[in-house]
Amino acid sequence: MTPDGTVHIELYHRAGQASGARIASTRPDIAPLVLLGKTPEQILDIVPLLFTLCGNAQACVALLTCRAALGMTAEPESDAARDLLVQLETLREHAWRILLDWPGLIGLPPDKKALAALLKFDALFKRHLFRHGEAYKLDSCLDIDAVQLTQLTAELEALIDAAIFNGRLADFRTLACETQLCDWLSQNEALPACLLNDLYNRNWTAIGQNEVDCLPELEADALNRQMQQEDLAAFCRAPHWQGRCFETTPLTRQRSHPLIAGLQHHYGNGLMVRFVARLLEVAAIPLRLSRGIEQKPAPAIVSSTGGIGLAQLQAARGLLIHRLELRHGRVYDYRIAAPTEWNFHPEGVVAQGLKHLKAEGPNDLRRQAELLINSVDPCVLYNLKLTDSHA
Amino acid sequence: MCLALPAQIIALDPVTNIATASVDNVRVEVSLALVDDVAVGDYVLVHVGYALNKIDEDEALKTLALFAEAGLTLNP
Repeated sequence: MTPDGTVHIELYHRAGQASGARIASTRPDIAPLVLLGKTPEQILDIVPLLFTLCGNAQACVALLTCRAALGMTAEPESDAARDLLVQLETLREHAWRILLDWPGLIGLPPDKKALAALLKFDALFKRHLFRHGEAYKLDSCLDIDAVQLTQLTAELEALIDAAIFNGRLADFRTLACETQLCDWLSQNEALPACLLNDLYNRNWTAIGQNEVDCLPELEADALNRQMQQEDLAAFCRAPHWQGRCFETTPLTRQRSHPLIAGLQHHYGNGLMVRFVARLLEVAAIPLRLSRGIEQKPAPAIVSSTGGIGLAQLQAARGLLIHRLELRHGRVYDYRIAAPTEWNFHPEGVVAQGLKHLKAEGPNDLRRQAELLINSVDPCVLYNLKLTDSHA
Repeated sequence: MCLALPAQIIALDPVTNIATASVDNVRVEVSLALVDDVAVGDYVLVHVGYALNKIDEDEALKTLALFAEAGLTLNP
């Protein structure tokens, strides 16, 4: 037992045909426990220590939240640089789980050399964007070395192209429909091609399909009003929007891409669509990084009223929300609603997807369930128990 | 979203590149495939069985103190 908690998933079935799923989480709501009574400066020291895996997204949204609660003005250029760091982190989180997990899904060993190389970029980008590499303090200062950033971005793209796309990244970026995707998959030994071909061969492309919608963009003041009317602890454990469950994943961000729209027509929100959405982000982010901070960042939507700050941004796994209530300059309440809690809600997209699985036996059912969970969130610590409901 | 757990290396096998690490006095097996120059006594951040990076002792102890303050671990 370690302190980061686990999502416990029980999947009921009869001879591989799922009949129900129960999800219960022991993941701790650590923010109100640790941050109570702290100053905004202390919040910005503590958050990066707690959340190293999605540390840029967590630290960035914490900074935006603190600034909102303090009534400070926006910093468009610095926030654009921070957006680059969040994008870089999204790429790293997608890529390293692809390199770590996908070989195992198709019986190959992981490429640990590429994995180790990937983990080194974050500190280098920070160092060439902000003075002393300090990106998430109230007094952080931009200090951009454009030449080094351009070189780093080129190195990162070359690594991604070689390790994930087997030299066919440029072709992947041009895909706009399933026919083109199938052409790309043909005679292709790239890791994603092996996985996606395996889904086609098993006829598992639509596995996990269900009716849970993607979370729409949330208007910050409306979200703040809804949260104020709720038990905040309950909301953060099982978030909803206007009484309904939603998913927030890379699919949510990529659903307007023509390739995804076409695939969704055939496979709904099943496995094929989810894995391709993640790959599209991996392919697109190096291009965004190469355009530098001239790019307008995706808006991190902020609400600010009377010592309360709320901010939200898209982290690797989905929408991340922080809400801070300051009284006399110190934390009276701090809440974090993470994408894991939206997606692994007891009635959410994973639970609904699991309920619809139909496999030829328990072994295949377990494999389908593991693929579905990995396709939604490859990072979450979980325990999967299969229970034959008629045994 | 997952918390990053500092773990102290208490033994390592250079042949397999696997270490035994202590997280809140619980022993776990950790792959060192993604980090360089790790020695017994060092602190690393662990996720899904891999050491992700080495961190200095001061940062590790601060993080462990935060977990202890939250009641999530036994020892600061």
